[in-house]
Amino acid sequence: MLKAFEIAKKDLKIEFRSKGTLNFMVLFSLVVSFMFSIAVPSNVIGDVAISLLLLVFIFVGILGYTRAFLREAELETIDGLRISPISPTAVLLGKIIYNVILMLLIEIIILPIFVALFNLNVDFLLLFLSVTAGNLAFVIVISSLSMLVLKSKARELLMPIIIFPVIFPVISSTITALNSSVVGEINYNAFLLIGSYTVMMLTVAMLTFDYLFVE
Amino acid sequence: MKALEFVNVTKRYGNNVVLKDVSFEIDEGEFVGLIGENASGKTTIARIASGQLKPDHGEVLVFNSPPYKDYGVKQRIGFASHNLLLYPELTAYENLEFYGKLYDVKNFEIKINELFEFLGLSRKKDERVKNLSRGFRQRVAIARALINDPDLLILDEVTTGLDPTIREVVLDYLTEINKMKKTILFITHHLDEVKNCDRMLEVKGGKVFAQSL
Repeated sequence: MLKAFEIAKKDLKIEFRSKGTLNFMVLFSLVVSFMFSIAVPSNVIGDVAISLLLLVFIFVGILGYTRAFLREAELETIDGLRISPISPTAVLLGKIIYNVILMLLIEIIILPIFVALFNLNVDFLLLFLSVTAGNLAFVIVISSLSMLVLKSKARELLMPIIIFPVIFPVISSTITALNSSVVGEINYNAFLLIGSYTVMMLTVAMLTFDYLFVE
Repeated sequence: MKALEFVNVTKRYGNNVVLKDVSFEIDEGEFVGLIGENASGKTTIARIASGQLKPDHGEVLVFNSPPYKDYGVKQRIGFASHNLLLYPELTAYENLEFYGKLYDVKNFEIKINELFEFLGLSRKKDERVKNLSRGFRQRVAIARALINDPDLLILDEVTTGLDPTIREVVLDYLTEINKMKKTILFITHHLDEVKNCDRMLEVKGGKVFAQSL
């Protein structure tokens, strides 16, 4: 577990120096949020804003979270992790921790701006918890599946095709959880579903990652 | 004890068979040179021996354990190649610190400073790897391979980009550490670099043959 933190720490250090992924994720989220806020008619904004918020995080997540492994593959440093005396699970956990920290940073920056842009009347804490729960599931699924597409030449194109069917249960539950933040009442069933799915995906990822990691 | 054993190893990439039924062994404490033409399979042997690749057929053992399965045995392997395995955004020191922590190296600060001193990197340790010349990057990569004081050192064309002085220093150092019972598999296509080896192997047509020095 300590080695997973070392990997996450190393990735964060690289990210804060290059700012390649973080800047892109923030800018992309801002641009899409502004576009949605301008394009959506004001009479339906209340009905669709929550779904659009999730869409922003899904788009930015697919493009951003895959970078954790793609960067290692592009630099060929992934072989440095392969030769090190660490279990592939520790590598996966390290990438998940790194992506979770990126995710929280993006949420902290984007959520208040999105709420202000759409003039949403929501329970902000509940909104934050719902988005975080859904995003956590996305991070785990995307981090695990990035290893699958690593060898493909069209990996950036392949990722969304693989991801959407896998994360569909999370999308629908997260929308339910997000809608509860509008009425200000927590929907325990939605959180339970997201939580169960997250645990299930993490377990599957940890059991199968060894086979994906060594060529 | 055998430090490295290849038993009927076959490896293919798609339809291209790179290694065909390869068998050889290296005893503990041996210094073995492995030569071969470009694309003959030398790097594949190095990658399989260091646990980066799984053989399609056959068995590979490092100190009696398969390196792609046994993470513990990787603690005893040092690996460096023309592919540097370094993070360009990190400094030379930070790269070694990261790997030192992954390898659970005790007192890694002292070890890193020793390696930097020996490889003439002390003045470059706080520079980001992306700002270093190819030769200095290669030296950092060699230092990375030595950070865990490995019992089996696999070096795949590591002298590429080194100036003649440092190249001689590295080759002399290998002879020195070999005297301390460290096993070395030295892969190159320069025959003059294997002059200090105990014996030589050649990869040709996906097979490994013994060669006279």
